[in-house]
Order: sequence, then structure tokens, then C-alpha cells
Amino acid sequence: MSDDLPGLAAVTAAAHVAAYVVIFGLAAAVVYGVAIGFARGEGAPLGGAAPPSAVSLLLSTMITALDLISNMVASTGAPLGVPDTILYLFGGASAAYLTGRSAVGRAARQFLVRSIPTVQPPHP
Amino acid sequence: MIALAAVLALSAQNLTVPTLGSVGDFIAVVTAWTLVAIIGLLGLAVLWEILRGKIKLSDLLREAGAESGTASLAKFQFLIFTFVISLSIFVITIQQGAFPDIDPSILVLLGLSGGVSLTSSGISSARILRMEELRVEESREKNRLEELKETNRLEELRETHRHLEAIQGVRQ
Repeated sequence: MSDDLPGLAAVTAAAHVAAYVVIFGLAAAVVYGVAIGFARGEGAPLGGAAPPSAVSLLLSTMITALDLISNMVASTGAPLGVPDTILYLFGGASAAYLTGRSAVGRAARQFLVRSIPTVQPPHP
Repeated sequence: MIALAAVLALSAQNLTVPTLGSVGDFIAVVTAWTLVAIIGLLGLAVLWEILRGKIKLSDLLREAGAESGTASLAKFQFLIFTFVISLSIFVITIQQGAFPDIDPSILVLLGLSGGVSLTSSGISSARILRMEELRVEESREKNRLEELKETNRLEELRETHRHLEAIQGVRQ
């Protein structure tokens, strides 16, 4: 299609406007909706007694996301991607989190709790 | 939706039509306008329904089957990656005027993230079912315990008591 085609500039501008409105509108709506959920007391993802695997998954999520964002900001034409080490970190944290939540993790926790001797308070 | 919008923005710039002359060009422009209208109106309709409160997003992160107060970390990380990756691709597409090459690591990351979210939902659902089963079992064993106390059958009473304790231990 030739660049000086009548109507091309207009449709390009319309496509850009539609893309910006839809994308940023949806992003704002999701952020607002999630914030309302938090404010209503639905709790943050780490609410309550968070197990270590949940903390690990949250941290690795943040690290991976920040790595992606820095990659995007400093984009020099290289393909958008994450290093293998970050991928392994996130994969390991995810596996630990899921194992902790599964029946295997619960059984292991109960076994450990029963195995550790507890100190009884002295009788008065 | 975001990826489609990026495709749209790009396709409007880079449409290549075989040499069909002015008729081909006209059809290409009409097609581009149609696509812009369909995708744009669809996106605006979704936004409008969100603004009207017909589509509620406040439970987006809620743990599957949770009564209240718990948000799912698995869903949270899936949401973060979805937005970071799609917005990054959108920004790079606009900057470069062409689709960036998508590294396989991004696909692996999205696959991992989605897999974690799905598996976590499955675990939650299975746990809810198991807890319901245990609740019924606990209630049955309590009734049996009361019956056995009246009949004074000590051995069965101890056995039922042990079973009840085991059920309560799992439920905790």
C-alpha cells in the first residue's frame, strides 16, 4: 500500500487512539477494581500467616517483572526476554509454592510439627 | 485485547496489498477501518460495562472458593506478568513501528505463570471438597462417639476417639 494513499493516515491515527484508549482504560479499570477489593478487606496476596514459599514466589515475581520492565525501557532492538537464571528462579519459587499448598506439602508440615518436641509449661 | 489492539495499530501502518491498483488499496483501507471499528467498539463496550458495574473486577484476585479475606498469590503474579509483558510489547511495537521478536523465554514465563495459576485453583477446589468430606465425617464420628459412650464399649470408644482426633488434626 502506498504511503500517500487517501485515508491511510486517518485510519492509522484512529487505530492508535483506539489502542491507547482500550489498553490504558482496561489497565486502569483492573488496577482500580483490585484496589477496591483490597480496600474492602479482601486482603493482600500475602495476608495472614504467609508461608515462606509464598514470600519467595512474590519476591521472584517482582524480580522477574522488574527485569522485564528494565529490559523494555532499555530496549535496543533486541528481542524482549528474560535471562535463564531469572526463569529458573521463578520456576523454582512456583514449584515450591505449589508443593507447599498441595497435599504433599501439608503432610510434610504435619509430620514436621509432630516430630518437633514441644516444651510443656511447668505445672504450678 | 491488548495484543489485538497492537496488531491493529501496526497493521494499519504496514498493510501490504498485492498490486491490485486502486481497487485493492481501497479494499485495504476499508478493511482497516472495519477492524478499527470492531476492535475499538468491542474494547469500549467492555470498558463501558466495567464503568456501569456490570463487569466486576474487585474479585479478580480472590482465592477460588475462599469465603472472604483471602487473595490468591498465583492469580496476582499471573495478572502482573500479563500486564508487564503485554504493555512492554505494546510500547516496543509503537516505538519501533514493527512487532518485536518474542523471545521463547517470554512464552515459557507466561506458560509457567498461567500453569501456576491453574494448578493453584485446582488445589484450592480439591481442598474445599476434601474439607467438606472431612466435616461430614467428623460429624458422623461425633455422633458415633456419643452412642458408644452410652453403650460403654471402651475399645470402640478409644478407636473412634483416635479417628476423630485424626480428622480434626487434618482439618486444622
